[in-house]
Amino acid sequence: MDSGQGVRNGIPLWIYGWFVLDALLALTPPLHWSITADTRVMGMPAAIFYFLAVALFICASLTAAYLAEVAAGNFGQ
Amino acid sequence: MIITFGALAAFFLFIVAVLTMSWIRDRTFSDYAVGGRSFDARFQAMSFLNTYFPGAVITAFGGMAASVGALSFYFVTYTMLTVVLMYLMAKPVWVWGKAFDLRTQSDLLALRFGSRHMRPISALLGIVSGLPWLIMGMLSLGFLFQHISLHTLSFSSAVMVGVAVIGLRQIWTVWMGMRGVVISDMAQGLIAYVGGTIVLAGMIYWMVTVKGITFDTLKPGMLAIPGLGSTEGPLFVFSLLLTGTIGGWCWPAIFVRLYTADGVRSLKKSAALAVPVALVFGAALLIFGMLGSQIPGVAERPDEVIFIVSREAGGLWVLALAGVIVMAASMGNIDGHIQATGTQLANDLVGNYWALDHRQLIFIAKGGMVLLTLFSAWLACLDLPKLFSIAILAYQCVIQLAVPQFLGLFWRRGNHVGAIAGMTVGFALAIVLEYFSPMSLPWAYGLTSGLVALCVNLAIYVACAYLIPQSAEERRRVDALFARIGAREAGDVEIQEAGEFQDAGEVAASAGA
Repeated sequence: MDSGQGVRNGIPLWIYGWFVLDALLALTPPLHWSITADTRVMGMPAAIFYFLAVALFICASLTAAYLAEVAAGNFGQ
Repeated sequence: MIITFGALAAFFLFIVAVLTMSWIRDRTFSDYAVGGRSFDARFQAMSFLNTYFPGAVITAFGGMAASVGALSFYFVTYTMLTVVLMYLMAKPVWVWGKAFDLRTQSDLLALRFGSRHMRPISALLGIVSGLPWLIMGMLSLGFLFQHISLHTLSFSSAVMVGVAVIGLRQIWTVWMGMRGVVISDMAQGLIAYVGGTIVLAGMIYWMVTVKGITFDTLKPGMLAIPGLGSTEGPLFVFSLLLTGTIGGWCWPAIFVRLYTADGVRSLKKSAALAVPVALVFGAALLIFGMLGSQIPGVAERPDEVIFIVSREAGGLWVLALAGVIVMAASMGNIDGHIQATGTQLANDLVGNYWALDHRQLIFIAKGGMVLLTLFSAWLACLDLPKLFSIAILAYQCVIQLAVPQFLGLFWRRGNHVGAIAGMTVGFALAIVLEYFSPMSLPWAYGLTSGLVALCVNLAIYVACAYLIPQSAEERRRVDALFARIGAREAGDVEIQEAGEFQDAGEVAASAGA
C-alpha cells in the first residue's frame, strides 16, 4: 500500500524509520549489557538514564508521528 | 479513620454523580459494548491509561522499584513501545471495527481469518489469562483498606471490604456498559495519574529534602540490572521488554478500547496525548518506590510502599490522598476488565453459536459481569499465596494472541488453521515451561517461557501460511479487507453507505469454516 512520495499507509516513511530506531534502542541486548554496572550518566544511574532516555525518545516519535500526519492532511481537515 | 474513609467515600460519590449525570440509554449491543464508537482523543487517552495502569501496577511496580531498584524502569520503556504498536494498528483495527461492527478482539480475529471458531478459542485464552489480574486488582484493594483502616482490619477482612466496594461500583458498570466505563475513566484517570503524579512528586521532594534520601544513599545493587553473567541470563532484560511491549495490546480489555474512538485521528491523537502522561507518572512512581525503600518498614513490605511512605510523610491526610489515587486507578481497570469480559461471554462464546438479538446479548453480558464479579471476589478472598506467580504465567500465556493479531493485521498470508494451532500450542507450551522454570529459562539464555512458546507459535503460523494453499476465494476476501484499509487513506472517513454494516458473526460465517 505504498502511496508514493515517501508515504506508506498514510504515514511518512521517516516516521517508520524513527519507530524502527525506537525498537532497536529499546530491544538490543548489547545496549542492556553496557549499562548493567553501577555507573553514572549525567549524575544519574546508567540503567535508569537508559530506560528513561529511550522512553523519552519513543515518546517524541509518537508526538512527531501524529503532528506529521496532521501536517500531511491525513485526517481530511 | 474519618479522614481516610471520608476521602474515599467522597471520591466514590463523585464518580457515581459523574456517571449518573452522563447516562444515555444504549440502543444497540454495540452501544453497550463499545460506547457507540463516540469518544474523542482525550477520553481515549485517559481510558487507555486507566486500563493499562491499574492500582495493582501502583502497588506491584512501586513494590518492584522498592525491592529490586533500577530494573523496574523497564516498565516505562515498554509502555512507550507498546503505544507505538497501538499507533501502527490503529487504522486497520478501527476501520474494520467500524465497517463490520466489531465489538471484541475475538471479533477481529474471526473476521480476519474467516473462521467463527477463532472467536471462542481466542476469547477463552484472553479471559483465562486475564482472570488472575482481576483478582490481583481486588487484592491491591486489600492493602488499601488495611492501611486506611489504620490496621484495625485484618488483611482478609480488608480484601472483603475492598471487594464489596468494587462490587458496589459494578452496579454502574453493568448498568451503563462501555460508555460508563470510558466516562468514569476520565474522572478516575485525572485523579489517579495527574493528581497521583503531583502527590508522588511531593513525597519524593519530602524524602530528598527532609530525609536526605537520594540515589547515592541507596545500596549499589539497587542501581544495577541483570546482564552478561547474571543468574537470570543475558537475554532476561530483552525478554521482559519484548514481552511487555507485545503483551500490552493482547489483553482483551485494553484492545477493545481501540473500538471506542470516534475515528482513526482520535486514536492516533490519544497515543500522542497518553505517552507524556504515562512517562511522567511512571517515572515518578518508580523513583518514589526506589527512594521509598529507605523508609523503615518498606523493605519488609515493598508492595505497600505508597501507603507506608505517605503516612510517614504527611499523616492521615496524605495517606487518604494515596488511598484515593490507588482506588481511582483500581476502579478504572477492574470495571473495564469486567465490562470487556462480560461482552466477550455474550458476543464470543454464547452469541457465536446462537443467533441472539441486541437485547438478549446485553442481558447475557450483564449477567456475565455479575457472575464474573462474584466469582473473582470469591477467589480474591481465598488463600492464594502464589497468585503473583499465576499472574506472571498469565502474561506469558496472553502474548500467544500476538501472532494472529499482529501478523493478521499486517500480513495477507496466514490462515485460521495456523492461527488456532499456533495459539493453542503456544498457550500450552508456556504453561509447561513456566511450571518447570518460572521467571526465565536458563537454557534459553534468560528468555521467558512466553517468548520461547511464542517462537513455536510463530513457526506454526508461518508454516501453515505457506504449506496450506490459499483458495482464490479466500485470497479475494482477504485482499478486499486490506483494500478497505487502503481506501480510507484519505482520512477519517465515516463509513455510512447503506448495507455497509454487517454483523461480524455473519461475515465470519459467510467466509466458510
